[in-house]
Amino acid sequence: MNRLIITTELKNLWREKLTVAVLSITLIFAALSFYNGYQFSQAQHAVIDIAQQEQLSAIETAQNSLTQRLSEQGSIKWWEDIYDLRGQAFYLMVNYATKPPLATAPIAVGQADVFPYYFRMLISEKQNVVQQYDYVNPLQLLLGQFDLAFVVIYILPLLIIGLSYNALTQEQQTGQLRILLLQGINPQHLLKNQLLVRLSLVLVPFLLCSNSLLLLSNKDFTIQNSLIFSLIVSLYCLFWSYLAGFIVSKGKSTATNAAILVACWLAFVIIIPATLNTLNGAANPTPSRIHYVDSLREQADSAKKASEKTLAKFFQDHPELASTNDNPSDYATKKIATIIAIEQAMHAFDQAFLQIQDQQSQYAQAFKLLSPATLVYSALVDFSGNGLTRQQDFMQAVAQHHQALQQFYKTQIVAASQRGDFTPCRGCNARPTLKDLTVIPQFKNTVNDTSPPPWSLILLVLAIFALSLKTNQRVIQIGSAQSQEVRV
Amino acid sequence: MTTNQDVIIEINQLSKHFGDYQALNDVNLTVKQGEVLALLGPNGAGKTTTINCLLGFLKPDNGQVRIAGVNPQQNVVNARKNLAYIPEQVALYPRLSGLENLVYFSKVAKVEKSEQEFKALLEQVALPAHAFNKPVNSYSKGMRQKVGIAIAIAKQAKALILDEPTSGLDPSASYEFSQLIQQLAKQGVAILMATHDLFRAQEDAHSVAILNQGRLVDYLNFEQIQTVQLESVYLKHIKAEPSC
Amino acid sequence: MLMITMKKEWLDSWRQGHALWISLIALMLLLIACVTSWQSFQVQSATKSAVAQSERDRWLEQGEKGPHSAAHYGVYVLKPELPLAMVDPGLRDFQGNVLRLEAHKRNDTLFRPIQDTIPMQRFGSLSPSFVLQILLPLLIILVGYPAFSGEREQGTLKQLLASGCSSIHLFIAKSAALFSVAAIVLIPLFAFLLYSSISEQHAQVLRSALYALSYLVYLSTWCVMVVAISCWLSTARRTLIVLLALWAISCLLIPKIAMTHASNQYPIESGQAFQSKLESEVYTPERQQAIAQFKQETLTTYGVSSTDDLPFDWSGAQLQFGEQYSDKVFDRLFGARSEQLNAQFQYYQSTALLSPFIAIQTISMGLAGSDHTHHHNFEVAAEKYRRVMQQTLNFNQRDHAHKATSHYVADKQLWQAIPEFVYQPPSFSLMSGHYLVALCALIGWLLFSGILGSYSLYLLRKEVQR
Repeated sequence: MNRLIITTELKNLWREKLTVAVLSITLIFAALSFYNGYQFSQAQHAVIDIAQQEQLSAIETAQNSLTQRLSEQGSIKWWEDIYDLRGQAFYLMVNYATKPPLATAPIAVGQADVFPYYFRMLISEKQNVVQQYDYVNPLQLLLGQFDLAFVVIYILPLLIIGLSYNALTQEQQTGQLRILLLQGINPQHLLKNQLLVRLSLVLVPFLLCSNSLLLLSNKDFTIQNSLIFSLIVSLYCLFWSYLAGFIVSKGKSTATNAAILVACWLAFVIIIPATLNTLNGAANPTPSRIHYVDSLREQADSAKKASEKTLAKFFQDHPELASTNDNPSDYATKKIATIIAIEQAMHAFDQAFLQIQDQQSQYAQAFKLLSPATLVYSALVDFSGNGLTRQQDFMQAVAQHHQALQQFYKTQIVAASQRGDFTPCRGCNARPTLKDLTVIPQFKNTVNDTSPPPWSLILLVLAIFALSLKTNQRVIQIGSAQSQEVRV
Repeated sequence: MTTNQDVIIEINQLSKHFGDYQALNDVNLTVKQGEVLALLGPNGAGKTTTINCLLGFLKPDNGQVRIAGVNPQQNVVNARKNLAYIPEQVALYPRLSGLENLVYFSKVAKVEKSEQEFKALLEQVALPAHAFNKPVNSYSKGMRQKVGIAIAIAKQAKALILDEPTSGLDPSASYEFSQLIQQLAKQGVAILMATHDLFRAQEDAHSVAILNQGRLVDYLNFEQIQTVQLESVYLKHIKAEPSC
Repeated sequence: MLMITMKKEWLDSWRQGHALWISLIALMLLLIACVTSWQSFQVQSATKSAVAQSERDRWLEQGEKGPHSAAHYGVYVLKPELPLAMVDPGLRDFQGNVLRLEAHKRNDTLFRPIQDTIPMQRFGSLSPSFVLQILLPLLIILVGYPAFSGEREQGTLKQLLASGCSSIHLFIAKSAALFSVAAIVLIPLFAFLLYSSISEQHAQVLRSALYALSYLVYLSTWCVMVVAISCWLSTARRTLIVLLALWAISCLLIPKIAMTHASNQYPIESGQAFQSKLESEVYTPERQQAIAQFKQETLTTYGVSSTDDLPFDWSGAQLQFGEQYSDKVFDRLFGARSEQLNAQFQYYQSTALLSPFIAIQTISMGLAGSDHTHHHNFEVAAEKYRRVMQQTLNFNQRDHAHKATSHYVADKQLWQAIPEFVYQPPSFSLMSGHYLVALCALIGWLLFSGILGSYSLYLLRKEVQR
């Protein structure tokens, strides 16, 4: 019986021009959105490759030109000297911290176009380093990327609605259902199969197209990744299909069903997320970056004004670096000491931002359950490695790397200063103090995991289950005798 | 003398009300094998309510109906197995052909036949052969009715219920339709036909029941139909009833 | 006759019930959006003026130091906003509002608010413009789709026309009734515009008036288009599906695809490549050579053999020469990026011919001063200020440092000589040239909807005659 219904349904839909349009839209959008997401992640890969190449070639150039530098008799300014610890630390170091996109990155660009994914590290206040960003057209940021996640979240439900809004009700309105019931059909079977066919017309081509493109384009994209992606998308689409079933089972007219389903789409995909974002922002307001600038200036001023005091505190905090040398207070040590003082003073302000971001995340975590769109979007973004969790891990690794570099330079600079290496010698300004650039700490990328789909998706399963139960109850009523009104 | 086995459609003391409105009030009717009963009555007389009770879509308040001895209230599946129904507008899938519609609706009722047999059915109801594979949205109303009858024949139902079957048909299509009905009756199908078409009722029916305001106000058997002017009987009953 | 029809249409849509609910929901969303926007704008404005003041104080009170130290110390300038940015924050959250002006460097604006947000924020938040541009057309569709097709299905359309009701009158009445439902939602906006034009400092009345007018045109377009399509198509169901598809294509798909295509068509370099270029193109051997040549020329002009013998401080002159040298590189590189960005915006704007949403979005952001064109205007003004500031400091070094017996330091007098950076967003008449395509497209859409209306009326007349 199921086969008979499915084949007739397919035949019926196929003869409707709409179906061909839906199929082509699904395929075109799947391919186009994949291509955009893929291009985006490739562009990031390219930037990271160039950065790493630059870093390697800086080390190589330093190795190759060392002899020349050692024989150099002319005047060299330390800020232009790649063999000078201070020059490297403050101006010349080519040292990148990068977050390469994952194999799953083309799925959802997420915040990847906003969050920095590489940092050129220098010994400077952390606050200045982490504010770097890759320039993307702001309008593009406002409109969002046309990626697979967009097609999944916004377009697939519309296509499912477009195909399913008249399931069962079309038959009910035009009278076929009455005859079918008299012929002995089970209305639950009819609706279930109709929804299944209509869902498949959208879901199957989309998954086939997007998964094959993802698998073909990147050898690191595993079958497991493909299964997880398909699972998330299928659950979301199933939700919309069951919601359509739930609405059509109320037996209203097809136009009313379409209007109700579109209102649901609008509510779940646009209004609820936007309202929640607005309320989230109002409940957990991000501290003002303008105030932050103000504080940064203030702290920098006071640290610089009290530079001698700052330096004294620095040596108090780092007694291992203090020596018996008479005057260690050279420019570089002072600068590092000031940087550390500013960083310490700004710590509380940075924490305030992180704390608010955490609060906003928690709020969003809790309230994302109100809409399947936000639930699935966050699952897709996390899965593609372009979400907040991976970024926070990366920022933490960057902060650690920044610390490591600072530790390296402050130790080396103080030591060199105490050895008198920065004192001008005959024929040059200073001795080479950093002959081998490989000793500079390199960024170790530890952030690589794809997070598994979140447990919150189970909620979606529960919602689907609840919808199917309620729908079944209603549909059974359609075929049976009623006491007050005839349903068919 | 008819036996109980001959009675296919049985309506016993059927009553139904919707809120304050009494749609049916103690209606008794039977339709035997091979009999065509025309159910007449003005709009709102209770014809459609009677049909809905017979089809198992409406619960009677009192009394009961039986289709080939089965009460749809007790076993709707079995009751419907013996039933075929043709509404005023035969609802078919417009993008499927007549043949495809026939095959689908029949197979849903678990009727297994070859394509040739299905085509033969369409030939039997005089659907032009060139239309077999054309989508139904290009069919006239008469052609749709024919496909509807073919579906009913394929099901080999013991009872056929028709709701305003000739409304909107041109006279020749209406005539053709009545021929098919006669043919089915001859094959032993009990036919209940709710209609406003007094001419067709007089021509085709073996018995006539007149409903007004939910009550069975008159019943004419075959002999009576032959001897009276149906229109005047009908109008007499309708006008005689006090208006509310 | 027209009035009677209009009254009937209005009552009809009101009694349908859902028109009331939809309008109430839209009104509520708009109010939430207006209140939160108003609140954040007030806080932002107060913060900005306070911080700008303390930044100025810091500059003035930086104490005695060498002018070049002060040049490195620099200033942070803040981008002010027009009051209309409350109703259309546009790109505010996606481009920084703070710019650091310092020696040797031209910086990008800092601290884009979007960088501090969570990914969920990308779903957008409720701003009045979001409600007006995206949700209001949907309201119009949901209320207006059965305008003609519903009556056609009920059979009342034929009856009406047969009884002598003019189809044009009917069309106008239906459009007007629909427009009046949508206009109810606009009331708080207009009240807000009026209030802000009166009360706010930087308010520009022309902008507010054009803003209101553009939205009236935009909503009229949707109203006429909805009624026209409802008149054209046979069933309410089909009308609804077609209109929703049009809405999704116009408000969701085309903008995204157009922008993605624009950024692929006119790509801008990655930040990494741009920074590398800046470094490698500023600090080149040619620069050294140019400085040497400048030095030689200066020595020749003054007929001396050493910079020590010059009647001014050579380092000041050299710094200024260096600034001017890098300014040329900045002009070229930033100019090229700006050109690409501009090409992207122009391309995007030209797709307003395909989507009325793009037309109104472009105009609305332009009027609210929250688009990139205004942002760029601010950046250009700030850069001009930076150059004047550097020049003043370098010339001071040049003219006075040689007179000092020890290390030359300047004082508050010099810091005061550099006026505070005061940026006034330009008047719209100066900027209007940037939005001509969108303006024409918006008017074009209104005309198009009128033509569509006439065509569907023509079809309707033919249908009735048949």
